[in-house]
Amino acid sequence: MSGWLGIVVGVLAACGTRLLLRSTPARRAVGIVLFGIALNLLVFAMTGAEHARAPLVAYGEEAPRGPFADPLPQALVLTAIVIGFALQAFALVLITLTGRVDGPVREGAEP
Amino acid sequence: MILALAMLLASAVLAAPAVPRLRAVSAVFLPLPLLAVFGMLLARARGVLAGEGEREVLANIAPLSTDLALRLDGLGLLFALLVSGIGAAVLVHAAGYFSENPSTLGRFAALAYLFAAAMIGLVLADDLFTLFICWELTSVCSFLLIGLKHGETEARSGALRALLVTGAGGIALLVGILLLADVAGTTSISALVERGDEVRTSAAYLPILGLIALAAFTKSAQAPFHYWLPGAMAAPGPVSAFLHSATLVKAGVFLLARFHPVLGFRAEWHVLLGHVGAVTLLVGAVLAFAQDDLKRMLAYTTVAGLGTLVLLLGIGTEPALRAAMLFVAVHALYKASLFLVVGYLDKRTGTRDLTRLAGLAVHAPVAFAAAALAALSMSGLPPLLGAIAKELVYEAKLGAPEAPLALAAVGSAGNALVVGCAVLVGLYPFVRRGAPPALLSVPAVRLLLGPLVLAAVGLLFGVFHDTTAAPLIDAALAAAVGEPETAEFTLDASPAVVSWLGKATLLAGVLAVVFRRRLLAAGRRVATLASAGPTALHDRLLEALFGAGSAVANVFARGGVRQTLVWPLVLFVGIGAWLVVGGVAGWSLPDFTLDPYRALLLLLVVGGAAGAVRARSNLSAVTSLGIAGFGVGMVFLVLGGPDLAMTQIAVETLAVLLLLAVLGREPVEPEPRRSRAKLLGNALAVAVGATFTVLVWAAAPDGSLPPLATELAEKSVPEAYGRNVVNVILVDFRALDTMGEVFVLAIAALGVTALLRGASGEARGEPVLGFVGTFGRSPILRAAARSIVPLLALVAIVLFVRGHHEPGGGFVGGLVAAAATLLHAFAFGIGATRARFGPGRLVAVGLAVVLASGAIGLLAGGAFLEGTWLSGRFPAVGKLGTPLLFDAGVFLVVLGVSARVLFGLLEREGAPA
Repeated sequence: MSGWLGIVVGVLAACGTRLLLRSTPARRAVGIVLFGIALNLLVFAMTGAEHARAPLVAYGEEAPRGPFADPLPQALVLTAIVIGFALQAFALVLITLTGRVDGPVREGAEP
Repeated sequence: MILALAMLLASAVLAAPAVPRLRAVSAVFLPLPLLAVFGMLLARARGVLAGEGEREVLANIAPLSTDLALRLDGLGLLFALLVSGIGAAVLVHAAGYFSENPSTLGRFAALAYLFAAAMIGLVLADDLFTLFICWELTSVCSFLLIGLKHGETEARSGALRALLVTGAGGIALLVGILLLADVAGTTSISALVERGDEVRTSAAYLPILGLIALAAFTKSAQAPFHYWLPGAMAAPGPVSAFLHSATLVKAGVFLLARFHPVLGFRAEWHVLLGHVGAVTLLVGAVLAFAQDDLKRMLAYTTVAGLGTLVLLLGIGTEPALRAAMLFVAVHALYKASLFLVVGYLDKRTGTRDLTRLAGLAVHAPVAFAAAALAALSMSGLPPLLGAIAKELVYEAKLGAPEAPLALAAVGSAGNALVVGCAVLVGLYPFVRRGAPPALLSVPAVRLLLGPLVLAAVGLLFGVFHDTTAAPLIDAALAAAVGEPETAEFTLDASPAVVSWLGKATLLAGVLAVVFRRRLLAAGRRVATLASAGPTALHDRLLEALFGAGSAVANVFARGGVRQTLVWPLVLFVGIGAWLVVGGVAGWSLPDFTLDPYRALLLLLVVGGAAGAVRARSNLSAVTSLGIAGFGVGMVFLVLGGPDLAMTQIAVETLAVLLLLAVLGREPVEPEPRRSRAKLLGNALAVAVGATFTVLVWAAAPDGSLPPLATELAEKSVPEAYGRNVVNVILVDFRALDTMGEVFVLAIAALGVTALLRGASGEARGEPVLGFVGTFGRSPILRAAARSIVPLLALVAIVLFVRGHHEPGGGFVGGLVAAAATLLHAFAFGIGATRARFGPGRLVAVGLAVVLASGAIGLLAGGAFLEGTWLSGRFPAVGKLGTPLLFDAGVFLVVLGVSARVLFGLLEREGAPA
């Protein structure tokens, strides 16, 4: 599965990047969220997407049985998702404060 | 003495709220904490003078194998007495000085206590780290106090200059003490003093000396760093009297005296300190004499005094050190007293201009008495303490092993000008014939009590010096000399020469005052250059630094988002390409098997992402994003990450609703076709995506778990009593990381608040009514929300409680609770939600809970954030312990932060009403 997962991560990152480079702030906001998702999935996929079992210890046992997913990257990604959300909110506030949510913003010498 | 510091810190916390309520009696209460410290020091003085320095340990820092410790020895006692005593006098004065502005007085008092605590901690520190922390804290207090009148440009720039100069010195000190600790193998100062020989013979001696001397020179305003001190005179009078005459600026001298037993006794020490001190003495004296503003004149005489002290330490003989210790006390007493008198004159007449002040002896006799006593001590006239200091200083210079005559000449020239300044400050405004300026009514008792007492102490100590000053100075000397063999020094100069020199400088000083105008006319250009030159150079350097910064920014960040993003993205792609080229040989092709169910899921994600790019309207872009996000949540779920799945789905819900509310459903203009920007964007996007793919393929694990994963999973139940390993990692094993992340969340909320507050002053643009705004009028939503909101809240709590054993926890619980408030806001309007639920203090409470749960581990004898558990099991949760409390704090912070930003954005948009 990791072969296909890699391709999906790549597509998410490509779409996120494309949106980030668009000229309207609204699309950039969407791009920030998409790029964040791609990054989280990247960390998750890089460190272990082979085992479908969650790292939980069954009641009555001392350690999880059989192959299970690596819990450490999960802990990293979990906080990253929440922090990403705070960052997105911050970006949205900045965008609304500029007051130009809908129109394209002219930058530098670009057409 | 730990108690004394704790009391000062508590006073600092209480001062700001208490002072405006105390009003008129604040002059009685404000000096009490410092007087109490003064008393505590006196009570221990006898033991210290007998050579019993007791050591108190604040805390043990195991990773650095060091104690944070205090030790009261003679040197520390001398400085601590000066800090607390002069601080008390200054606070009485300040109560009068700020009598019309109680809130400023409160801020001043709070910072003054904090400064006193830092300064006393500095002089009593018995380990390098306490020393460094307190050193930096004094710089910060100085910055804040110089900028006390932060509305004034001059105060702000003066504060910043002082901070930059002393801050640079602080960095030098840090590197210096790290080298020192490395060479000597200890961080304890009392142990360090024993190992002076090891340091002096090591190869690192010169860098250590250079760095520590740099720290001392910047703090003690030695040339060429002296310029920050006159700039600091933009501060209110009491600040200058306390910090920039008597205490803070002596910190550098203290540092040199403290490390003299370790770093002294080598030619480099004598040469460096001797030259810098002598130049500073001359520069300070000349510039002081040229000023018309009394306060600036005093500031430059302080520079001269500090130069004298460094020069004496540079001579390094026992008489020189004795003279230095005595001069520290003498200078602090007369200089603080003169500063306070000048503060009084400023309040009384509204001016500090020498040319406008005259005939005040009749109108301000008490001030005249204090000023005259202080000025006579400054000039070195018997029977004042200054006379003894002056004799000792001349003896030391004449007895210097090298160049005694040159030293005496420099000293006499500088001293003559200082005497002239003493006359100009202490006598001239009072006895000069002429009409005094218009007099204003002021709280004279409060303003003048401090300077009068300080000046009187100078007189009493001078008359009874054998029983008062001498034992104290001897004890300080013992600490500063370190090695007793230096006492072999013999006195070459006869006292007759010394007294002759003293009289000559007095005469020269008086003559200088008489011919001041002519002297100044001759030296005007030099004086202007020397006073303005370093400041201009400082500003020029800073401008150049900013210029270089902008030059770099102009290449890599040319304003727009696109131009700024391109470089990091190109770099990222470059790293990916390098990985591919370098590592191709070692790769095996990843696993490409896939069952139809998962294939469908991945297709959903890809479809959502592509849809977000292709979408013509904001509404469809955000909806597509939602599809991709929920799809990724499902991917997490099927790959063994139920916690991730829940968090991802909760965040995605909030993010999509937020984006819809803010961005609305207005279509966007299509981008121009086939433009270069578009081509570049496409190319870069494909390259970045390919890099991500390559990274996943390259890193795809072979199916075996890393040892750490197995270890964490096996320890989870026996050591942390939790069955959800991910949650155990978050709240127990790696709780410190989580704490950092929770603080990041809080900072983001603070940023949002600050942005919105900054914007609220200006007129709001026309509100962009969000798509979800139309829900606000829906009775169906309202009816549903009535039952769903409480249910969601319940779900949030259940998720949180079960999180330690099953998927859930504080993060996802907080997000679901935030979703409940958001739903309420959509259904009933943000105003109604605000009325029921205020996220204001939730973040602060959550952070406090997180910190408290960490502190419990510390108090229980373990490390910060170490899990501490109650014995016994409880229904529903099993074991109870601090990790659960920590998770509760996380819950509160996440809820508070999310609600804060959601509400902020919704209120900004004015939707739904």
